[in-house]
Formats: sequence, structure tokens, C-alpha cells
Amino acid sequence: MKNNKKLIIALASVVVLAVVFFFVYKAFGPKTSAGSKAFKVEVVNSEGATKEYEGKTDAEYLKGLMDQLAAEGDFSYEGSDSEYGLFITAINGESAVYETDGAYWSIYVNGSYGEYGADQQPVTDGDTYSFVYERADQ
Amino acid sequence: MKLTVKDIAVLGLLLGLMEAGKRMLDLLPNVEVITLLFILYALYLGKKAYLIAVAFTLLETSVFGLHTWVVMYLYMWPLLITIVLLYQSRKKAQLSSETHTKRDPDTISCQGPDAVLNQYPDGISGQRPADSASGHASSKGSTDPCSIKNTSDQDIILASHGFFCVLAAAFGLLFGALCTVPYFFIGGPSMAFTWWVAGIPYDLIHCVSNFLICLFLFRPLCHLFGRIRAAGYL
Repeated sequence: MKNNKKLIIALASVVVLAVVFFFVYKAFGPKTSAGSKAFKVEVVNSEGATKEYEGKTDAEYLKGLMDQLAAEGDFSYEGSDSEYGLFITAINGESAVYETDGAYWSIYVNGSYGEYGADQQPVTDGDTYSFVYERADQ
Repeated sequence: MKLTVKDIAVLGLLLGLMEAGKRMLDLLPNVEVITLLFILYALYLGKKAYLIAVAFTLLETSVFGLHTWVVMYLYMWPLLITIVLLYQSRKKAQLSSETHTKRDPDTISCQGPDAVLNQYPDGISGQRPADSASGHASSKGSTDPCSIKNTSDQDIILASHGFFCVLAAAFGLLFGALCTVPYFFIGGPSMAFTWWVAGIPYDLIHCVSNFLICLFLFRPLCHLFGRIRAAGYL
């Protein structure tokens, strides 16, 4: 009986913790803003050349914005789904796969290293998103 | 820790089982049998489970490449194994105090508690010498009139089902938080916090899936492992 009581308390604690985590996510998690938003996208390739895109979007996440740019024709990307979300392997035909090229595509938001993948990075009005080709040995 | 050729073969098979289980559930994010398997391996293999943890990490690295998750795997799974082994030790101590106080009138107890404990040289999940000699584990007590009845190691493991369900759930819920350690060193508390918060929905899935998987599969797998042990392979 004593053991059962301890078990119930432990299970209840896990449930309470799960609820707390849920509210932490609601309070501090990535937030999107709907509606028409101004954006700027920069693609910096392996030679350091920058290609810029500007416009308006209703995309909630960066991946949606990338799909919009790809539909407009002047931008392309390739990637694969991983357990961490979209993993970008090529942009505008330039491949950066760590295992073969020793390089990868990094995401920067307003000049700072992005903390989310493309499918979790919210698109905010007026922000600049940069895809930068980076070598592993830099 | 001495390893025989048979030990190495068995550990290899159990590692393969774990990897196959992971592959099968790859499509479902954070739904995995790894947690349950590590709990079982710790219960039935003791400290040898640490070897599987290291080998599993190396195997995953060979498949997916080197990344920050390798560092996480190197401390997360051993942490789970350690918690299980500590729980086992505590249960053993509890068993020791209970055998000291309880006397089953149907059992001819002609040995003291120390002699009983000596029947579990490798901890609660270890095989008793009497079992290994006969080639099988008796879950109902041996024919030796001086043995304890109804307290086989298998019974103790099965009686801990509830605890391991809660442990699996808590481990799944805290998995993301525990994995933020490398990010403290990479980008500081801010990066670690952001990374953890972004993964909370997956941690919630992990918590529920671990609990349900343990709830429904713990007992059947324990019976299976018990039979494998009885056959002399563990």
C-alpha cells in the first residue's frame, strides 16, 4: 500500500511536470505572426557571392517562405526530412552535404545564428533570413 | 567485468535487437523502444548494459555521423542504466530487511538472511548458483527446503512494473532538458533554453509513448527474458 502510494505520487508528479512544460512552451516557444509580412532573404554561396530576395509573404515558417520563393522560380532548395526537421542539402543548385563536401548551409536571422531549423523558424515582419554556405573547417 | 565469448555474442544480439527496434519506429518522432530495452538490459545484464550503451552510440554514429547528439547519447543511456541499477540495489536491501523480519510458515527457513542473500551474488537479477547448476531458474522456489519461497528475482522485477513505467515516462519527459548540456557549452544558457523549449512538444510525445510502451510491453518482455535466462543465455 505504501509502495502504491509512492507510485501514485510519482506518476502525478510526472503529469504535473508535463503540464508545466506545456505552459513553458506556450510562453516561450517560437511564435508566428499571420498576415502579409515583409521579408528579406540572402543566399551567400561558397564563393561569398550574395543573392538577395525581398518581398511579402504570409508564410508562418521559413520553410513556407522558401517554398514561396521556389514557386516564383528564382530560388531553389533541396533537403531531407530528419528527426530534427528539414535538413537543407542544397540551395540554388549548390550542394553542401557535411559527409561529402565538408560543408553545410547555415541559417542566420537578422545576422545572428539561427536557433531553429527552417520548418521551426517563424517568419516575422521585417526580418532578414540568410542562408550561408559554411565549411566545417572555418 | 569479465566477458566470455558467449557474453560478447549475447551483447551483440541484444544490440542488434535494439537497433532493429529503433529502425522500425524511425517514422514516429520520439516513439521508441530503446528506453524500455535499456531498462530490461540493466535488470537482466547488470553493469554489462553499459557496454551496450556505448556500442549503441557507436553504431548510431556510424549510421548518422558525428554530431552533438553523440555526446548526449554517451551520458543519457548510462544515466538511465545507473538509475535502474541503483533501484535494484535498493530493492535488494529492502529484500534483505524483509527476509529478516518475515517468516513464511510454509517455508522451512534453516538459513539466516545472509545465507539467503548469498543466493543472489550478482544482485537481484543475478542467477542463483542453485539455478545455474540445475540449468534453469525456478520462479516458484527450488525443491531445496532451505530456500525462500515466492521471492524469485523474476517476481521482484515484475513487481517493479509500475516504477519502471513512471521512470520511462519521466525519462522521456526530461530527455530534452537533459540533452541541453552540450548546448550550454556551445551557445550558453540562452541557446540551451531555446533548444529545450523548441523540443518540448516532442518531449511530451516521448513521455506518453515511453509510458504506454512500458505499460504494455514490460511484462511480456520480462517473461521472455526470464525464459532466455532460464535457458542459460543471460
